[in-house]
Order: sequence, then C-alpha cells, then structure tokens
Amino acid sequence: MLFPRTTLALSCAALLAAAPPQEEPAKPTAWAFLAKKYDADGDGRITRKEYTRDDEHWKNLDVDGNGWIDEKEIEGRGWQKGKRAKVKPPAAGDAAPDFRLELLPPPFLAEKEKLKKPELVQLSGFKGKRPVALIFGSYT
Amino acid sequence: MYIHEAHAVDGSAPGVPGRFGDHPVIEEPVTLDERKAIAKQCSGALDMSPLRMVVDDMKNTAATAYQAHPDRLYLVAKDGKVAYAGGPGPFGFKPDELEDAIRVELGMEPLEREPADGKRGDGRRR
Repeated sequence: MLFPRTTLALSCAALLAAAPPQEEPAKPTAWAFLAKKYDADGDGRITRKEYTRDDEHWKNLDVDGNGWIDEKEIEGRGWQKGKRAKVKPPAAGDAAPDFRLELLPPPFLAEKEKLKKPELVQLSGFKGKRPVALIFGSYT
Repeated sequence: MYIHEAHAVDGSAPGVPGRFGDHPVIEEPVTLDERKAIAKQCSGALDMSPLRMVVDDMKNTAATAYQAHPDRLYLVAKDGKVAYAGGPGPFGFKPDELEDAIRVELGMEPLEREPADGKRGDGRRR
C-alpha cells in the first residue's frame, strides 16, 4: 500500500496518535507459511483434511483440484489479475457514499483495546466540518 | 482504510515472488478480528503513524461503494461531495493528485511539478 506524500491529509481525516515504527517481520515463502501452519504430518503435502479453512480459499490453493497441495503447486502459481466488481465508482461531484466503520485503536492503547468499546467513525459526521481524504489499500 | 487483501496467499489473485515486489504472505482474513489484526500489522509495518486506520467491515461496504480494491484514493469535500476520485490502483493510485486536490480544497495553490507521464489522472473536479 502506498502513502500520500503530503501531511495535508492529516488535517483532513486523521486523528493524531504517536507510535514508534515496528519492524516488518521476515517474509516466508507462500509454501513455507502454509506448510508451517497446515502440514501437520510434515510430509511435504497439505491435504484438504489438514487445511482447516473453508472450501473457497482451498480452491484458490489447490489449483489442480487433486485434493492436496505441495511447494511446487503453490510456488508455481502464475500471476492472476484481481477481479473487479462491475459497480460504478463515485465520480467527482457525486455525493460520497457514507459508511460507519471501526477505527483501529492507536498503538499505545493496543494492550488495553479489548477493554474499550470499538471506536467508530462515520464519514457523514465530517460533513460541513472538514474535508476527508480516503486512502484505501491492503497489506499486499 | 484497510480493505480486503489484494494478493492474499489463499486469494483468487495470490502474490507471486518478484512480480510487483514481494508481498507479505497473508491469508485473507475471514473474521473482523482477523481483519483488524492484519490491519494493525500493516499499519505498524508500514509506519503509518500518526495516521490511524479505519477497517472496512466483512461485507466490504466501503470497498464496494468506492470500488476501492486493490487500492484507490478519494477526497471528500467539506460539503460531502467527492472532490477527487482517483483511478483504480495500482496504476491509478496517484498521491500527487490527491495532494493537489487537498491543496485546492484548502484554498492553497497546487504545487508545481513535472507530470510523470505527461497525463493527468481522471476524475479531477476542476
């Protein structure tokens, strides 16, 4: 995920919270990650029985549909373009679709977060008060 | 805003080493708690402080409404209307355009800069 290079966004939407940077953990290969988690008998294969998640995600892993996966199958998967839903996104001048969603607690409250009620933020709550920059992304 | 993963290891478009950089190996979160945990990991690893992260719900409400997958930028003006609608990421993800839009919204002049590709992104309200 990318960042805006401006601090101006801060004046729009962000609530301030100081936090030290965290080191990014070492990245295992996809197979190393899966094998560590699911290859219970350590035979170099993960069967559907060993895999504990749902069928939808299994189908994305077991590309050939033979009921098990190994390093060759996982690391040999080619690039596939992500699917995009055919919904028209809002354009400039349109009313911004509203949402009411949970705000992650600031890092310094992380240990206490379970003691607190989720903090919600609603986009329309900023209407008439300030502009809001929306930066969408994921970790991958 | 953290939305559903673009290249989860068990997703329909898994990351491939060396293609557009090495992605972290992440399983697609299937519960809100899992999603929040990955969002927190993402926020920390990418050092997003002092920005705080909003987490989309498991219905992908915001990602769907804004067609934000895999990443996208918007500016919502004070009047509640979209002032800037960036293109779909990754190629339409242009922070400079968002910065310009913010400056305009705040009554400031856009920065002088050389267009990287000679083009302006779509969706600018000017």
